[in-house]
Amino acid sequence: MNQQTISKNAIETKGLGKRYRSFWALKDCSINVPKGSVSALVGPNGAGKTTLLKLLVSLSRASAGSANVLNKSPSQSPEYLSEIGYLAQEIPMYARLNAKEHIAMGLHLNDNWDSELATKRLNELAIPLDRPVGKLSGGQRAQVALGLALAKKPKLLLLDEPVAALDPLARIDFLKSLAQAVTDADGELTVVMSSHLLADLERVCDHIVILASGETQLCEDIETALKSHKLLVGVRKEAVDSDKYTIIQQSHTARETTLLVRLNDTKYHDSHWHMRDVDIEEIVLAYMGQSREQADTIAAKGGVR
Amino acid sequence: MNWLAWRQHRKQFMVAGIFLALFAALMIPTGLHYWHTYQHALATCGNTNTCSQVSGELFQGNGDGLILHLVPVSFLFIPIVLGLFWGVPLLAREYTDGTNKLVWTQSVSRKRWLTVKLIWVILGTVIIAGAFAALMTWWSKTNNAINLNRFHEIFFNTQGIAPVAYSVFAVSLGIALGAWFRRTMVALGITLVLLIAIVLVVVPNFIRPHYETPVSYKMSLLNNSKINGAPTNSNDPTTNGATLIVSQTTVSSQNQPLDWANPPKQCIVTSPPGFGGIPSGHSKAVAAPTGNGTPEAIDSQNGGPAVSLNCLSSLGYQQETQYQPSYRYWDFQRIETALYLILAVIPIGATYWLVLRRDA
Repeated sequence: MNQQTISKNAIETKGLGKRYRSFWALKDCSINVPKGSVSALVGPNGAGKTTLLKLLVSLSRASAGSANVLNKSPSQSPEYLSEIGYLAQEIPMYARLNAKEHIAMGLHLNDNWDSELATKRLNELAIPLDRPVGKLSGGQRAQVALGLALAKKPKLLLLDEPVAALDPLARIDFLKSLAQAVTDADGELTVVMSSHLLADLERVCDHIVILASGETQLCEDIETALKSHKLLVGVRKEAVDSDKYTIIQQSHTARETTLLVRLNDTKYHDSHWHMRDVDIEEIVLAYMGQSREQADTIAAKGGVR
Repeated sequence: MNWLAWRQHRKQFMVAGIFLALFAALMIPTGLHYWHTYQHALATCGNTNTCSQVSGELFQGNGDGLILHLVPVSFLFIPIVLGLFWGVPLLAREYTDGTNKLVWTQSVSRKRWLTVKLIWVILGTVIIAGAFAALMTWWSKTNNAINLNRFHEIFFNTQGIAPVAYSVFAVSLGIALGAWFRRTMVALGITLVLLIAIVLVVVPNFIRPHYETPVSYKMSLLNNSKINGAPTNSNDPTTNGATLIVSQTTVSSQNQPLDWANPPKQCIVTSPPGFGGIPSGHSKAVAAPTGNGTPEAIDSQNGGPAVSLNCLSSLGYQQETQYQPSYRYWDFQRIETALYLILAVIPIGATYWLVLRRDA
């Protein structure tokens, strides 16, 4: 096979968009998710996280742009679906069927299914296999669903807010299971997980995609993001973007101005500014804040009614 | 996919089987009893010359009368029940529970998923509806022989092969509306209304009578059995329930239908002697004494004036009945079966479109 056509990315989207009537749920989304990465997909409510994941697993059709997932275009064909594990937000399962029957279902609906793996994982977690899943706790249900998604032996796992409804303990257990699965896959599994809970994402993710206002704001390695984003504090003044940095957020007190910037050159240094490192949470909040300011500005100008 | 379809829907199939068994437990003993009683009456009536009364006298008791009416009437609703409880939830529940997102992201195309589901449910429908219809057809043979009323809506709709086609259509319609609305309750309501309208009202009353060109039968206006004292004519389709009446009109000798609002002037009875007028809209002929003591038939329709039927008759007017004769019964069953199976293609096609083209 021609090496050049094989992308290093598990997911590449270009200008991907989804419109519901006149409303764009996702607009102009261009991201690259490297193979083997564990990506956090973050953004405020309505930013299009669920929409993006549904487009990638072909539950929705794109209205604009294109997506390339594991070197294929999204489709409803078994060949496309067989390589992707997907966990929808509400963790849907057949409430009256038990975990064992769900595993049997997977065996009948997938060619490359590992029933043993799923059974073993759930046994280790002491989840009753013969109780209808509707009668399991939220944490147990999430674990069963994750077990089903992994039993498919996917190359890409898409998780839509899998821990949002779980209590802290169940959340930690779920993330542990996920981390274990990533380790076991030995770089063969790419994960994209959306969540509001930034601290959780930091624990397992090495890559971040920030969506805000339905447009991509940032898509890069977390390590790189931490290096390239700095907080600059200095004497109060109205700062503007320079060739050295892009201002993501600026705030003023009576005497001081604080900027969260993305450096174009990580070696940048300026004695006018006191420079400080930021954590991933600050970066995410800055991008979300920026998108809200833009929205407010547009609204104030009467651009949106 | 077969495994999942069977696992998901086996319970409803068993419930239907239980209902079938309950009806069979009631109908097999009563059906045998009716048939033997009828055969016995036929065998013995020759001795006492009461054969003409057999049909009038058998099974007139309260218990039998109730069963003989309630059972066929309840069978009228079998297609509707199947449409509501098998058809509507099939996809609507997947959408409301979100399980479509689980199953559509396994390694099976939506097309195959839907096809297998449809095959199972429609096959189940054919089996269950077929078993109910066969039971009903067998059970009704005594009633059919005595009352010769197979063309009556209650009996036509519940016997033979047509009920199977109604059920297939009803289930298909329920599936499509469930997929369209994605909410069980809304789809249930609309499916119920549409099925009652189509299966029980529109087709039997407005479409079925016109499958074939009706046969015409003319008789004297005065020889109408509805007029007291007129003798029953065995050729008269209106008194013979084995036929399907399409229309009844009063026509002139040139086959022009009578305009009851504007009848021939000489036949208008301004003040029927000895008779206090005819209620407006009264469509039956009424025997009224004339001044000289001979009975005169008077009728008034469509709010028109009272008209003397004796007078119309002398002008050459006759009563024309258009009807479908009893020997066309199986033709009509076949035509109606084909009609509903063709109709079922519409909701099934729509379901494919909804599942394959719309977002989850």
